[in-house]
Amino acid sequence: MNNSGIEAISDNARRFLEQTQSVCHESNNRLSLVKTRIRDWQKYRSKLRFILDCIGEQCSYLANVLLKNGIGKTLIEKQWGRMVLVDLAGEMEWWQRDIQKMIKRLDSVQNILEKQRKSTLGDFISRDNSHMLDMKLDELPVIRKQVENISRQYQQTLGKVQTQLIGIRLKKLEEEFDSRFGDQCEANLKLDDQFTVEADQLEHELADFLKSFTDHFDKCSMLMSGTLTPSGSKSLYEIVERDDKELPAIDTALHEAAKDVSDFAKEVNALLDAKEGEKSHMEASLVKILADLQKHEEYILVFEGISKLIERFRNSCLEGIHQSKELLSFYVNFENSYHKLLSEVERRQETATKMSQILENCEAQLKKLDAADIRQRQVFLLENGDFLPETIWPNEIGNLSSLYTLDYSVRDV
Amino acid sequence: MDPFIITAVDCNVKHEVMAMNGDGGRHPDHETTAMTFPTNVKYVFEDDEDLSVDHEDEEIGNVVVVETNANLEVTHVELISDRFKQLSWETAQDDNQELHMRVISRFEPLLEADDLPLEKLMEIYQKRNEQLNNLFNTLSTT
Repeated sequence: MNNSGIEAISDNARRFLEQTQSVCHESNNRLSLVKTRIRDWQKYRSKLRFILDCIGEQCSYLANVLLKNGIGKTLIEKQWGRMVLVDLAGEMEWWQRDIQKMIKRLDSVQNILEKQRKSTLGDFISRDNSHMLDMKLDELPVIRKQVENISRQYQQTLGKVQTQLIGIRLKKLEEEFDSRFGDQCEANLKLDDQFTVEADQLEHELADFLKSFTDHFDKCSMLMSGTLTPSGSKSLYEIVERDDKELPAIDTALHEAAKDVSDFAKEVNALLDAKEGEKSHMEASLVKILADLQKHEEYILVFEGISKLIERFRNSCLEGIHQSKELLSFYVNFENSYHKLLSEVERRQETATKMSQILENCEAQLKKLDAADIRQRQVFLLENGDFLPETIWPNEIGNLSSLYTLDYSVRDV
Repeated sequence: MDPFIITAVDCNVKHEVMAMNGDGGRHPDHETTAMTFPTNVKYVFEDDEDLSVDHEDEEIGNVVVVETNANLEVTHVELISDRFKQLSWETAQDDNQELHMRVISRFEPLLEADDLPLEKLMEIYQKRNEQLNNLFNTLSTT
């Protein structure tokens, strides 16, 4: 064992270690770039899967909740079909019939209070609003036609969504995903499993090389430091001397490993380049289906528009029913009041009769009093008239006229 | 360094639909019903010796990667999760360590929507279309 021998081995060790460090650094960079790309590719696929799930749910929301339930069942079947075309129409007919019946009845009641001409109670009511509901009922066929049109449109839209959007477009999208972006697609299986494992293996391999060269270098450094016992130095020298001879072979293996890494990186990058090239077609398909989903917003706005139109018609019908109810109740009140009026007329006539009786009675009593008065005046004047001067009771002493005047009348009603 | 305060709002319309009561009104606090404060948070810093903690713990559901510059101002936020995808993020105006995230969970069938009037159903549909477009736009940055 000589110092120059150790120095040569140590120099050699340093040279190989430096080379190894630079080779490993470069290869590790390659590997970590590849691993990052694989992870990014996985993230992309995961987000794509997520978006596809959401699109699938949005399609089924469009078909089932919005179209089938919201428009088909609630709007067309229930609100329009049943509530407007059946229930509301029935109610309007009912009230219209009632009004007509009432008018007929008023037409048949003679007004006995008018003597000069023949009139009926019907002559005294306004009929302007009595056909309001008939007019609304006349509009019904138009509304019915509209509902039929919109129902057809609804069926077409639903059919389109079910067959074209869900049956073809979404299905194709899913197929495209499965064949190119799915976990079971061959390239992705390779990237997720084989290549990921391989990258780790290559990393470990490089680490092992680095460790061997570092260990050897550390041993040399220890020898150089001269801190070992002579026997320890001797046995360690034997080891490093033997290892030193193996360095070129290990270095060759290292370069082979580095070439493996470079080949591996090339293969993975080429595969990822190819896979990423498939993104644009998928994204274009996504854009199309998203545009399709958005286009349906406009279609549904048409239904909303019709819905508002029919809602307005329904409200005007309800207003008509309300007014007709008021009109009908006015007619009923009018007839009732007319009959009460007849009793009122009767009551006044009776009162007038009573008044006439009282007055006639009174007149008879007054006449009797007056006749007695006149008689007594005549007897008085006969007995005393000759002795009394006229001026002693001016104007009255010879006055034989009645004390009262009575002028009355009771109106004939 | 103090840990970040992170709040996440799930913009999924299901929270709104649940908050809508019979008259179609909106829960006055409807946004807070969708607010989640991440619990069981484990903070992992890049300088940490043991970075493998998140791989070992099977309970971890969502990972938020926050990148900052030297002044600890947030420069990038990434959410890694199967259940949620990120729509946007922002820091509070007065505290750049308070991070608000708008996220979205997978669209689900809305059973409660059956009784809603057409306008409300339409509103939900439009909102979800908007979110789909939002999501799609984040795809190209992935």
